[in-house]
Amino acid sequence: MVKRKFNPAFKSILFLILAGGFLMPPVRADDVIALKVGTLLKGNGEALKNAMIIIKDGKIEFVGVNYPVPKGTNILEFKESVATPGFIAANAYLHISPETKEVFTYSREDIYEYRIEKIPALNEERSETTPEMNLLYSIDPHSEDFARAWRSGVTCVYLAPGNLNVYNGTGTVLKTWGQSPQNMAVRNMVQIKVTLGEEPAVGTGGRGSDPDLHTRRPQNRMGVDSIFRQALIDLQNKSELPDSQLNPQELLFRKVLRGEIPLRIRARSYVDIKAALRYGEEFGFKWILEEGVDAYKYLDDLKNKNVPVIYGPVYRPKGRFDFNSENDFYRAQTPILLAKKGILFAFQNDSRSPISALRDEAIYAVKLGLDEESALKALTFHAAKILGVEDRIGTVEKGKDADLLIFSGDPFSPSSRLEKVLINNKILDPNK
Amino acid sequence: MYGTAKMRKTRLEIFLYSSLVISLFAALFAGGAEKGEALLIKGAKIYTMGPQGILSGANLLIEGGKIKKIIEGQDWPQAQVVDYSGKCIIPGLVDAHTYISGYYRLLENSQVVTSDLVALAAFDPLSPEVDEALAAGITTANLCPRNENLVGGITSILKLSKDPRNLFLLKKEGFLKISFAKDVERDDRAPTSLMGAKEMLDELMKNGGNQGDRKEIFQERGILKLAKGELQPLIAASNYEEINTALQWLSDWKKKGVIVGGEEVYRFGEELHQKEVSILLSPFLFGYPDRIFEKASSLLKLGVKIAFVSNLPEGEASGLRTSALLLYHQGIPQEEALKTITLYPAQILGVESVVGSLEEGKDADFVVFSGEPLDLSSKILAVYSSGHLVSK
Repeated sequence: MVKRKFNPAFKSILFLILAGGFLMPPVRADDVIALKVGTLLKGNGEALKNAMIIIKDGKIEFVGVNYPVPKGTNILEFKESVATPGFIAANAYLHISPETKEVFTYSREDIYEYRIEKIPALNEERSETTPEMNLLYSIDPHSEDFARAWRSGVTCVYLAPGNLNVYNGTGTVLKTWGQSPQNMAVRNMVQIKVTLGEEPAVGTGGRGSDPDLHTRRPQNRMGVDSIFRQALIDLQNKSELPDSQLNPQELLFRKVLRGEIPLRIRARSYVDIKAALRYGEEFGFKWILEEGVDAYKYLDDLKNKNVPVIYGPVYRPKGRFDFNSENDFYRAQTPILLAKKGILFAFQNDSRSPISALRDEAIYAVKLGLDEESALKALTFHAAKILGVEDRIGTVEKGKDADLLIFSGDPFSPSSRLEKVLINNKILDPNK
Repeated sequence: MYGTAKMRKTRLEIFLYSSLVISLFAALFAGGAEKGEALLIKGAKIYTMGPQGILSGANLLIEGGKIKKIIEGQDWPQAQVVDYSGKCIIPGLVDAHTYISGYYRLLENSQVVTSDLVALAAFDPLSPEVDEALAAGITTANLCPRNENLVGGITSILKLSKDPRNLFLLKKEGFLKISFAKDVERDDRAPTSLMGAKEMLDELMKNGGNQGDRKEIFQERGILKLAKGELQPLIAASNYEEINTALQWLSDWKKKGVIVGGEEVYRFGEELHQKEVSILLSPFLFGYPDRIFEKASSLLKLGVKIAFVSNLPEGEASGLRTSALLLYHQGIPQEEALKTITLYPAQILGVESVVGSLEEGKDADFVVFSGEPLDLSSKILAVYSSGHLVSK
């Protein structure tokens, strides 16, 4: 009998594996969720077959193929399914507050035509410059729209005050499931929302009719331009004052000028994108383009200035704003052009398209030629990057929040069904 | 039908060689041109509006959107040639007072004094008026706030283009628009009369000039610039008393200015010349155009700078050419009549070093007519702006 000798290298590996098994932190069975899925799309472009995901205290503990699960742990198996990170709506319009409000708006071509629209977000109309507004505590966490969001796979949304001011307020990144807004919040006051164009002129009186007591600025784009620049120029004039002598509003603007807080500029029309590019050059702040359906006109400029684009929605009734047949084609192609150019982009919904259409936006873009990897990144990793929360959500990696979706098949096939939604520690069934 | 591999190879070779040759030529002759392309406009009768006068059968060589040379009777072999033999060319028209992109976009009627507004913010390159203006040969426009505010804001002088990416500004801040016109008087707020308007403006200038310990108000930034002399006033005034008030105000504050409207400007003569006030006339909004042109010609003979404006979209873009034609009928020479819609407005706007006439180094903006420009039967064949065909 020949004495079998172990190779020393093999020995050490064996030892390491054994030691690792013993030294690993003891994981108790009751607070651990173990998942086995057929395919895992991590969100950062990587994919893993027959993956195992261990979740502990709402955080991802392990992502890989094999893990020594303690005895008694219930392993959820989805052998045929595809898991992805939870989708992030980089800008969402939800009916977050029980009150909704009817306001007059007007179309771009015909200013005489007034129509009534429900504005789901909150507007503080005492002034046009209200960047210090924060809507976190005005949110009803049991609003029906949050349930609609997670039922369609959106586990995280960015919410900001409404569009009727020039500086509307700061936005919040929220999970769509939770008991209170404080506990849903991923990060508060991440960006300052700015609306360019003619929307801030709604509700300022006047507009065509004779001005009266309630008429105030802005009545049109010139007024918006002046209000936008006034706030920043006023602050530039106070550059010698220390932080302690500024009020909260001025402090926010100072942070904008220092590049600590980016501006989220809503510019639906190419005119307003051009204006935003001009302001960016004039003041040198960091900014993000929101509702950039006309972004295809300024791809080079946006790339040079490193401006991320939040795109959408395509799904909306025709003829609402300025859709016409010529632009429709390019607008639909915009995600593909953005991906080709290497511009960071994400999807969004708006007041007319439901939050459940977010996945449909991506499916539509994929159908038109966007590669699935970019589409998934736009829904997850890149959206988190634009919101500045990529350290917590956006991909399936160790240490990140356990926001996961489990699809019956390819997430970009309309026939695939969403089977389970995980937000933090909570397993939700969207089909109940 | 696709060729064999060999054919493809030769094709590739031909392509490579030709591109090499083209790039060599471009490198040798382009000399800083935009795309290494030169354009030769051949054989036309050119109304240069400059010192060269009228050149017949001359060639315009254009490179990088600018006029490189005006060559008489000579070809330029490296350029792409466009033949306009027998046609007439005049510089691109300059419209010194327009409301392009809409009425309400240029009227911020929440306050009476909105001197910080810049008209550029209201400009929409895809609005139908841009098409209308380009089709009529207008390549440079001064975008102005409306007359309804006492101080409406700052005008922007820009080259018109339908492409939103190529917005080319000649001056972001051109003039400060001030209005003494009837529109500014209203019952429900000050000023309710012309006297009040002048008084209010005097007050503003006084405060703008010597601030003292008064905090600067953002809405008065334009006034401040006017007081410092960084901006010139562009005053809307049409009746005798309005023009008189405007002239008085100008001499009170020792400013040179431009008056727009000018319906009854013929009642002033030598005075305008002495005060170096230029006049922008919008002829087709008035009841008696004949009288206007008669007096306009006499003012021109006195040496007052006159330019015709369209007031788009209130007026017609084609009104510029018709105005020059009616002036020609009053016995003004053709070239002089054409200058009132090209060189003079450019001089009034202070952009004559770039546009307004066809000279070497200036922008290649021009309009090609099928016959004499002041012949109603000749039509516009092409409009070029910075060397690009913008309307046909």
